[in-house]
Amino acid sequence: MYSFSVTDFDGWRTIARTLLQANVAPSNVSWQPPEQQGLFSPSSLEAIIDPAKPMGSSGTHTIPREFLQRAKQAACFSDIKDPARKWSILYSLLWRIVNDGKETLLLTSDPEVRCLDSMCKAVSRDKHKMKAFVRFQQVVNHDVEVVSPESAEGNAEYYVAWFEPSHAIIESVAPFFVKRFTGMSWSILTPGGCAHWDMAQLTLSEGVVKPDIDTDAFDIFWKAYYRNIFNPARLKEQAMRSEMPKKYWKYLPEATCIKNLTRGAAAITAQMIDAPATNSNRARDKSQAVAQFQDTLRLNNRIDQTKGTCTDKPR
Amino acid sequence: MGICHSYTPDGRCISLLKILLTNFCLYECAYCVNRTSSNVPRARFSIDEVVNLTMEFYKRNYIEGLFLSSGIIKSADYTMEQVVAVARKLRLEHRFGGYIHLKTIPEASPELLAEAGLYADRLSINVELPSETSLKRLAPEKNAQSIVRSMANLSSGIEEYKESKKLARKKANKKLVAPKFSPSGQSTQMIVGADASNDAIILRKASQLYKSFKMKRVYYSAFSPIPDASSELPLKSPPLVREHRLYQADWLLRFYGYGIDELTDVTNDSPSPGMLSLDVDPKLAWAIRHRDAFPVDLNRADFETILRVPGIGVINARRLVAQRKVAALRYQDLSKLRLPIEKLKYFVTTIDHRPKPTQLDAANFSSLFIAQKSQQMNLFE
Repeated sequence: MYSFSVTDFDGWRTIARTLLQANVAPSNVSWQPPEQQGLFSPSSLEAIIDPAKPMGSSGTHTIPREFLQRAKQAACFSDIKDPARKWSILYSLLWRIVNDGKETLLLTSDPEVRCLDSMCKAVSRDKHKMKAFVRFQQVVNHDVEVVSPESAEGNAEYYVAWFEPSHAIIESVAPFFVKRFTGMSWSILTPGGCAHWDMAQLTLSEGVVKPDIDTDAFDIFWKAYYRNIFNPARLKEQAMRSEMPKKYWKYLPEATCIKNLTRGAAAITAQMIDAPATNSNRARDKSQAVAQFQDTLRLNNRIDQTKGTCTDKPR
Repeated sequence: MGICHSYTPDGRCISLLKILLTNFCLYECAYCVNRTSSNVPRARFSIDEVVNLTMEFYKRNYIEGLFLSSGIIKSADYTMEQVVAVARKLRLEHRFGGYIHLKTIPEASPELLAEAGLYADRLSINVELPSETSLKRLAPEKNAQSIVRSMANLSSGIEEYKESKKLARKKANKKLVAPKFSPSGQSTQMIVGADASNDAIILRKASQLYKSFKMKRVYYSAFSPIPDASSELPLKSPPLVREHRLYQADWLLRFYGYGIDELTDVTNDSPSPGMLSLDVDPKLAWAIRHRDAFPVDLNRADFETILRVPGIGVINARRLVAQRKVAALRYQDLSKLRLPIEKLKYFVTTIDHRPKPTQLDAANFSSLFIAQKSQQMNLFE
């Protein structure tokens, strides 16, 4: 039995490649999370390699690119109860692809394939939600401790966001934010790692605890927009909650408006329905200019229509 | 478009700052809260205010971009010029890289349209109503022919730009690319339930728009109660589920190869001829009307036939076809793919499952689904 502790995808890949070349079956490998190192002594890679055989002589394997991409995504998955489980599933799938063929990945009802699928989905959803719900706040006072010193220097405008992703995705989503917010300096702070952009370079740093960031004064305009774009006649709270689960609300300044909007919706709708209809000539009766403007257009439209060049058919 | 940065309690996604430059308007469109006769309070943004809001919201990751429209003030050209000025300032002065969608006024000059196309990712003109007669009655200042003419102009501008890009790529010469023109195409919006048009008429109009102008999307908007309604409107708003059914049917027409007559109930003795069923989705409704085509053998049927099974979408149809090459499909595989078994079980056979023929033939077959659905329906009430 071999035992390995792995921290990231590249580490897993190196070990997995060696194991595969030495033909070590998944049942003979135990994958450990990094903090368990003291309990077992992790095997060293050299021990596996048969000195009689030169490296690679047992045949190099071509692994489908699709698997490697998905494995890399699944590697970001955090499983609190069993943090090393992903590594053993990935190795087992790799083993099966090499021995049974790449069709293994098509077995969408196979437990391991499904597990890979659901890990990828969870990571991808987490990334998507992070792109959607990270909210930058403009920081005027630069002596926020968490800000990396280089990015805080001199620059007039500086933005900071705090976010707690469920999986280890900061490194893989950072390029998205660089591309979108190229023209401003910012930091995204998370417990598992931080990303900083100074309009020239992306820097990654260790995770931090939640900093105190003053609320951004621009919030009030955004909240006003949010309150007004809501249609009380169409209240569908469940639909909102399934797309924007409550756990994200703490990042969203507008979330404080939800309760009042929801509570008032029925009354406002009833009021709209009960209100008497307005006479459609109200403005025309009051203003000759309005009546004249409308009459000119209406007359033109009638002429166009009677010309009959075009009924409801486009040219 | 793009990422939804928030959701309002009506379940709709917020991805753009969607505003009017002004809600002053000289038109009297009965379905609109901002028509001339309405008592709503009026306001007007300055160009700089809209530019500033867009930039600041974008920098905070609140939005993907701007969707700008406006009430008609002074004249079509004056109004359009103001709308274009916002986009111009965003792109040229602020080098704004986000998304811009401009609502276009059909009567505005071609020069303004061309400039709008240069800055906007998408332009759109609202068709508003499915027939010219309804447009004349409910939106008397709007001209059906200039709407069609402008859609055609947009369509040829979009096509020209696309073609020039293709040519430039082919000849590896960037200079051949024409000035940008609405690179994300055009879309339109149709109001549902404000006139008497049935679903077949609405869908026919929509397919015509898709075909003639290569619309990216036709949006259906069930008119909903508005403050200070016009006396011209029907008293009751249509059920929201009707809008939802139209979107489903639209999708089936474009991506599943259904015909309009297949989807709407064309039988003369139907209680609501030309309408989509409100109780069940249009795909299930079709399957119920064509029970003789079922059950479908998932291990043998071709892709197109599998695609017609209620509860199986494009992705899962592909999965099933790929998977059965490895091993014959079993009933258990369907639930592992998280397919809606309760609906599906009557319509498919696998090597270990075959629905009882009496079920499919039963007179009350469709009531099986209506009971299941009633809970979901609450969502739309």
